[in-house]
Amino acid sequence: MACKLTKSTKPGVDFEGTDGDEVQLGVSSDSGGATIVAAVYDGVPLSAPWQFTLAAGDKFLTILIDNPVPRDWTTIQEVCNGKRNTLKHFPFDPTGPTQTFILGGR
Amino acid sequence: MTLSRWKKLRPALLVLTSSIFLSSPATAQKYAYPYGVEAKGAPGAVGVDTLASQSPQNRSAEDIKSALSVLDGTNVTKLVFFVSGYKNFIRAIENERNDVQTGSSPGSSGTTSLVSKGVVAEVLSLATERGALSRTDDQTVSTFRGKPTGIARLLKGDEIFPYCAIYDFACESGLARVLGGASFSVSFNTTTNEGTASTSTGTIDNSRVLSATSKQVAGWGVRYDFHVRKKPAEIAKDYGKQFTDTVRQSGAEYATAVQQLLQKFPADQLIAWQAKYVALLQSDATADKGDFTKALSQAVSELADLAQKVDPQFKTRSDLVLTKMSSYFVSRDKLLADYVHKFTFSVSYDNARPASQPSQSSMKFILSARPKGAQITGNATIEWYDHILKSNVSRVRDAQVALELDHTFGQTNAQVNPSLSAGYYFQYMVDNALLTLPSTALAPGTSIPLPGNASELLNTKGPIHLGQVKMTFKIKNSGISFPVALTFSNRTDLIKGNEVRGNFGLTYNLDNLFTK
Repeated sequence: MACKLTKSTKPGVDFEGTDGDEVQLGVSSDSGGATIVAAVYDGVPLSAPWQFTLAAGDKFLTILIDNPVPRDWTTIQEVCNGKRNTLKHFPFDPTGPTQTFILGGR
Repeated sequence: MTLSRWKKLRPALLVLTSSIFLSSPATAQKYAYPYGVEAKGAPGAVGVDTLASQSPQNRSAEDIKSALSVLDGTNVTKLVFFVSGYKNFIRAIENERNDVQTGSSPGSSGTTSLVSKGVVAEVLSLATERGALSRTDDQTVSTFRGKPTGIARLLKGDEIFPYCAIYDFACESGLARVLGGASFSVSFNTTTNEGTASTSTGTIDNSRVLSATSKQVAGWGVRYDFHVRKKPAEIAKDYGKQFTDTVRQSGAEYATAVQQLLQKFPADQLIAWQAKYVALLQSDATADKGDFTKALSQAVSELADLAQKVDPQFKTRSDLVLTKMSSYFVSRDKLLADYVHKFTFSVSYDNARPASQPSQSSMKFILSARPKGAQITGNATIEWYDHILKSNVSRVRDAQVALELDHTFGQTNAQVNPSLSAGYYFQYMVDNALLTLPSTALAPGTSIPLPGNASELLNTKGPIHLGQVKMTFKIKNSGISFPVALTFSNRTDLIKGNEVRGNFGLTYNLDNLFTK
């Protein structure tokens, strides 16, 4: 499936897509050790392969990452049919391992 | 110890003490700035530490917005530390740990421990325990255990319990890590001239040795814990596969708590807050590093006020994030301990001073592992007499092996966490036991006078088998535990005959006191 999320221009919203679209999450890092431990979309915990359906309105997506190499460059991505759409690229902090996004479903 | 020997040892002790004091600071998760994502030397990253070194005009609005984003995990942690208190986080971490050795060693006259555990308290712990395991002299013993680095941190006023993720090897200095493995213990007899509650069915009347006056210091010991770690690249390989459903569940609860906290922020006010601090951090008022840090303190304080105004439950939600975060960190660290460490073992030297016997030294090897849902601890010990006086008994007194399995029941947020332990202990007495009796004493059970001031207690050579079932009740947020144990043995060290003993204690991990 093609990538569904695009960077939002609306203040306070990170990405947007069409409600009803399927989104799958992935993670990678320089060390190769980064992994998604848990993900919660609009209050509902997801399970591997970290897939969810985009809902209408502005909804929160929280991802808990772990990486055994502190400050290792880590990338959270939308996985789409062999392609990868970067949502965030950051050095991993072991004591702040969550990343939250506000996704707008239009 | 003679004066000349003390003089020789003094420089070494001074070096050791200075090293402990110098190495005690730990960077850990104590961030350099009160709010904002920190680059901490990650190549190419821009954080508040990078912005602080730039002139205000060169600080881009995008970099500032990114560093201050409340949706970033670092900022969630900093906000929660500000609202709920960093010390509460440390206390929650302490509450989650259950593998701390607080009591005396298994060979003591008063203990509830069949094995010595793999971790000791960070500063000091106190345990009062009643009932010996393999020893005939059954006493009440109070044991202090402590770590020199923890005590040095306490005396210096530094952070005592720097939480470090199990794989964050750069969290503490190399010297702090090396010295952090060292600990000591001192045990005191708190009762003297007590009889025994033994249910012995022994055939030899050796019980009179128990009437001897107990020594005030029941024993002392030093110990070193070794954690041999894998290389980061080795840990990264297959890292994701290590996570169990239990830890993922704990992670999902943590992520849910974070989301519930963030959902309550009013979007428009958050945008206004961000714009205010972008402008402030680009102004000359924050050119100085001190002013820059002050602006970040103000930013986090204002952010917390803003949230508390719109959500009266904000503090409760923040406390929940703290609890869930601690629970996740500890369950992850426990799960990964065996994966991250090639192996973990401890070596300890203990000196026991039992009543009516010469003092005894022992060298113990402790191995600890945590397979699914349980903790396994194994010990192997060799014990020898410090003096054999004028006897002909073997200098090596006994050899011991022990194995214990622990499992904690109940919810992590329960007020009382009970844990069940089951263990087996084997001791082989290499020779007959040696007693120190007055020269006028008679051999036990006979009217034969003993020569000199030492005597061999006949028929005490051979194996001792012990089995133990123990329940430990740990009270949340208090550092207090009540271990209650039932021990079965075929004999004790001085008396042949089956024994059933009750052992109980009260232990207090003083680390908890210092987190209040």
